Amino acid sequence: MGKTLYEKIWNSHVVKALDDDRVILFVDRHLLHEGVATYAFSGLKASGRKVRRPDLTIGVADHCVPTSPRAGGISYEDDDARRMVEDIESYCGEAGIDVYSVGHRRQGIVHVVGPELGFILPGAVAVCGDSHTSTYGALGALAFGIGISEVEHVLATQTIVQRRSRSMRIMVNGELLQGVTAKDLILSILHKIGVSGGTGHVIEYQGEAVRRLSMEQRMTLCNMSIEGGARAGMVAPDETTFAYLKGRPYAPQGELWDLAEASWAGLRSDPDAAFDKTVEIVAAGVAPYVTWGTNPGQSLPIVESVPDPAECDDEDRRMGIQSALDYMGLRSGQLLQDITIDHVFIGSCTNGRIEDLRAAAKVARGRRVAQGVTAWVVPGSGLVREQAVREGLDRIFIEAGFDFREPGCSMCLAMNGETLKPGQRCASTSNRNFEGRQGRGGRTHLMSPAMAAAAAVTGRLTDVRQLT
Amino acid sequence: MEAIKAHSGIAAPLPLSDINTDLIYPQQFLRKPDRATMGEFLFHSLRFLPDGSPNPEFILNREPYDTASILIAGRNLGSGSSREHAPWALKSFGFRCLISPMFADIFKANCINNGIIPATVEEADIVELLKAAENPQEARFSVDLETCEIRHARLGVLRFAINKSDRGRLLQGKDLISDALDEADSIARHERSVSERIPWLDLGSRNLP
Repeated sequence: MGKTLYEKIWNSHVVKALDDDRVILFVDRHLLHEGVATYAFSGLKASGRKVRRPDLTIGVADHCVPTSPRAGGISYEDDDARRMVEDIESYCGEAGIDVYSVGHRRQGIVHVVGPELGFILPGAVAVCGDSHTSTYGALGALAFGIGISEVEHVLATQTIVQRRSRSMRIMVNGELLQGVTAKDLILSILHKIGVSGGTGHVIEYQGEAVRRLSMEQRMTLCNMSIEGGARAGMVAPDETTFAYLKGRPYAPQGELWDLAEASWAGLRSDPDAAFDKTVEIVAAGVAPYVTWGTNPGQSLPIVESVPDPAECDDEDRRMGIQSALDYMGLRSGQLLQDITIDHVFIGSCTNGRIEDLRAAAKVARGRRVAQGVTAWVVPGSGLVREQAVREGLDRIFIEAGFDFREPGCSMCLAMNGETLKPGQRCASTSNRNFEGRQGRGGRTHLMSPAMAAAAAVTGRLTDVRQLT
Repeated sequence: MEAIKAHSGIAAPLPLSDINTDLIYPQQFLRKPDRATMGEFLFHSLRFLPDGSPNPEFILNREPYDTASILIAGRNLGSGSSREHAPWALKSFGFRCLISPMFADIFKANCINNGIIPATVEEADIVELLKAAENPQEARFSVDLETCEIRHARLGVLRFAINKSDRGRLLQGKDLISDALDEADSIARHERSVSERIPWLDLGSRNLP
């Protein structure tokens, strides 16, 4: 019997099998952000423990960092936010960990900066105290989010104690249609499997449509695996992966690169590997999607209308739909395209990369943000921002009436104080539309960057295919 | 982490599925430094009205549930963000045991690491448990981790599931880090084998002992 990609990476990282069903797993790559560093390092200090492998961890400031202009100094939401950023700088400095904080040209969202640095490699085990660590699976790594106690464990031992997950294959057959992105694909997958359909599983995305995705689109896809409850999402490495990685700062160079690439070329699930679960998707059936409810599985193609709870025969789901409609202030039967918005957020570890900004700029070019709408573009990193400026995307956004901001997590989780006001409705390229996620009483609709830009210029949820 | 073998107390029913960690502990309090007082912000948007006063409708604001130490909830409890503030806040409020038909993976691990029992029960049982807990006169439950049983005056004894190794860790209150540090030799051996087998993953091979 062949092995899955997940099993192969797992097996090569077992330090020791414990007496029960758990193993001590070696961690090749650990990423810290300031939202966890403060707690993890204070725990480590209290117990008198040291960082075992500072070379295998990097620190990035993103969660608490404001994205307003920084020329006159950084205006943090409060002293706690400032302290967290100062903590990650000083703790990492003391431990000898490379840190990318405010003031560094690469600073940005940890899940954007890590891959940009070439810190994440195929076949690696990568962890971070953030659920969207699943992003890195796009590079053929086994990457998953962990809690803060576990962050402390990784710092002290460079290992993590884990139990093996079940495996799930999501096979996306055929090609995605023009105007349909990885964001639409993952929202359609979440609609199909639900927000707990992946719980206890590691997902491997396969199929022609996945092979054709760029590295950044694969990151969008893997990023939201956690929204289906999955431990991780991954895509086997291929030429796209190698081309993305080559020459990046932490990636191997010279002969070591050749060795690595030769090894990575064989890093995939065997044809006869058995998965615990397989889901098949017809790529051509995926339309641009938006969420209407309060979890990412409550999503539909933009051409449809708000669902009717009465048509649902499962009581639990019916209650969930009703409570989502109440919170979102929507009526059953209302066309999704008739929903008007107040705010647009283009950014996040899901969709804050250069290709995302290009897609949004293509829609924004020569148009104006609708009256009464506040539209933000928050680049995922300093490098994304620089590249956007080089390509003139900043001018396109600014001329269209968008606010082109500094990098950070910003309104994806609104931990830095950048929030919606109660009742405001936002077209957002982020990953979670939970109640209060973007601020108490705020209403979030998830969608792709092009769809969010389309919503910005029309003032309502819009099928971007009708604009181009 | 202190060991936990059994727990008795008032159970609060929260008959919702997919309760995410944003709902358990919202983002505006993620910067609070003190884990021990995070219970003040637990379920903040449900517990407090927009003007900051307690919401009299919410279960944890009503007697006897204001002293609850067991939470009974629908499936997929703790989904979403990995924030460990969620179990910290639950523990700070006084919760020692959570009962649900299904827990999200990261949240479950965070609970174990904080000495909170995640007890998984059958979907059919959760309906009965919720119903019993909704009656203030019947809201007292006992949870026995050694026998994996939930005991209740009217419902009798119900079984719950918990992974054997998770159960063992809770019963012993074991610190995972000191156990792993005891394996320093195995870890060092693995590090050496990485630098031979997969040298490109070993950024600091020059520093290895």
